[in-house]
Amino acid sequence: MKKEKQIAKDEDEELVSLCQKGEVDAFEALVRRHQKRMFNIAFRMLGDYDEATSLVQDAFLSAYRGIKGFRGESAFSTWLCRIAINLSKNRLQQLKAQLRHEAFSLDDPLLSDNGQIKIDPASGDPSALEVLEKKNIQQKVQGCINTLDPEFKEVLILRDIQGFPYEEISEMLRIPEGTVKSRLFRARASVKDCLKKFIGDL
Amino acid sequence: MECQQIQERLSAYLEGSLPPAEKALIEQHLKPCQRCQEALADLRKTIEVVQGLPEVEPPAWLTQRVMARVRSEAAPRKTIWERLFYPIPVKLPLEAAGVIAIAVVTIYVFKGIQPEMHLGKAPLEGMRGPTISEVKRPAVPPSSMPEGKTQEKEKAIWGKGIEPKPTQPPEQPMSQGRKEAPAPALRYDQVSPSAGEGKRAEPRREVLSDKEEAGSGFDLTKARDELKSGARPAAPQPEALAKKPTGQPATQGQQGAQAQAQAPVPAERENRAMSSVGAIVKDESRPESLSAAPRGGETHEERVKEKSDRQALSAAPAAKALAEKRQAAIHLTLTVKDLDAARPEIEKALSQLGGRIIKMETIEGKIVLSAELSSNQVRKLLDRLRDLGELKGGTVDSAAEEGATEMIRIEALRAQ
Repeated sequence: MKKEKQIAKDEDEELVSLCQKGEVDAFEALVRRHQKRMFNIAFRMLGDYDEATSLVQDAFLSAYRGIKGFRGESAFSTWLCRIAINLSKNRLQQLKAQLRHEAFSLDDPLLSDNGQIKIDPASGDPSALEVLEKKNIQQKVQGCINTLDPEFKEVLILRDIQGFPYEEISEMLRIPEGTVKSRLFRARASVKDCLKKFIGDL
Repeated sequence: MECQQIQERLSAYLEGSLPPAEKALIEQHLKPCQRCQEALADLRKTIEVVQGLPEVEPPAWLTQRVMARVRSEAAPRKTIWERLFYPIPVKLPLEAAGVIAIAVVTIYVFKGIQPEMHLGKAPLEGMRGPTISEVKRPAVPPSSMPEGKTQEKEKAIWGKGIEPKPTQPPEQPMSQGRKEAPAPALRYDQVSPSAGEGKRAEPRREVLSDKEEAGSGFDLTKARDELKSGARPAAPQPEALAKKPTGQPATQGQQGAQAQAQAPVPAERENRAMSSVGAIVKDESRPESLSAAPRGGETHEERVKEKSDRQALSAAPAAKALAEKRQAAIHLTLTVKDLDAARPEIEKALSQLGGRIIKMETIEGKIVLSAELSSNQVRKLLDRLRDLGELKGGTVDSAAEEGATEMIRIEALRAQ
């Protein structure tokens, strides 16, 4: 596993150096390698598919602009994720400001005015019931994640969803490992409480 | 430990990152505490659920979209450069075309003006040599050289130097040269000196009309060569010969004379010579040769003749043009008592007669004035100038076309 990661890292470095020489195709390879993770981080951070799509584009574009300044002090994936996280946090701030201005938005299905999750009415289709149930839970989990403050959210996403080691998260977010952990535990507790509130029994 | 405290540490407990003592404490608490057990279960479930969140597939077109933006990002940079420098590829040709257009227009405009300018200039160029010499003639004491000899030598030169004009038929001048040249040469018993003088004379004449006279120079040298017992190598290039007398053996005096010939001073001497040459030539009743020294005060007619000869001679169109221009010129030398007073008078006379002053300059105590005047007014001008002082030159060409414009060059000198 570690070996694979190392190989991936080496390949990244190679592609990055090609990019730095101006090879756009090498960047495309990097996009293909990292876009899924980037997208998932963005999606979990923003809680919205379309937002995530547009954010990933922005993140890659900004990575492309900044790739000549990338010195390889951290792994390329770490660097890339930091960009996604930072952009996501900025975007969240923008959305929050927008929410305050727009009293109610139809395009905002996940958050209600008070920042709580709207409960989607259950579909009556029995054959899809189980699937819906699972989906429903996942949506609710996402809804709970959405309620978290960004600094807790990011830790939870990076650790529990993306599975980054503490060390890397600490590097990515530029906070001490201890802070990562304490934030993670608080985030988990919040989500747990949130889920309990909406679903009752877990 | 309170339940609250325990629940805060449950996450760390699940992670297994607690120190053993703390872990034991929690386990101790959990056993009896239902609430905390539940909380632990919920937490486990939560983590499980969160970690079990499925990966979301990004849209299939994401890569393309990203790359499209990246490539347009790479391209826009180019277009930014292009926007900055695009004007240049477009403008440069435009600017180049503009410059060329201006140049062409300028040339055309100047071509339109040029005839006038030439008229104004040409006589000046042609006259400069003689005029200066004439002016200085009185100023320079002829004593700088053994008078008799040099002067006579110079006469000889002029006798030869003059020949060129009639040279038209290549043979003729030769024979003439042969006839005439021997006389002075024999007189002084110095063949080579005369040759040297011939050379000396030539550079000066080149000033007068550069290439035009090349032919005559050639004849001169030929004649000279023949004079010098034909032992010398024929001159391949008359001009070169004239300027560089190196090819010929020369006595010391000769060389000195040559050196002087190139300096401005010799001009004076030559002038002196010229006048005397004029005399000689006249004596020998050879009007063609006279023409070489128009400053000597020969008639306009003669000059015109000479020039037409030259004109025919010269193949070069430039020389031809020059000759034509010269043809139109009348040279007058006016010796007055008060130069400053004379000047406005001359100007007045010219303007009253409808003349146009082209150029006027004051050189070392003399006034050189170039003007255009219709030929039927020239006589009147001469009369008026005669009133101002002693007038030399300026025989009016009666054959001049009615209404033609004459170039007039007036040199006003202070009487001494």
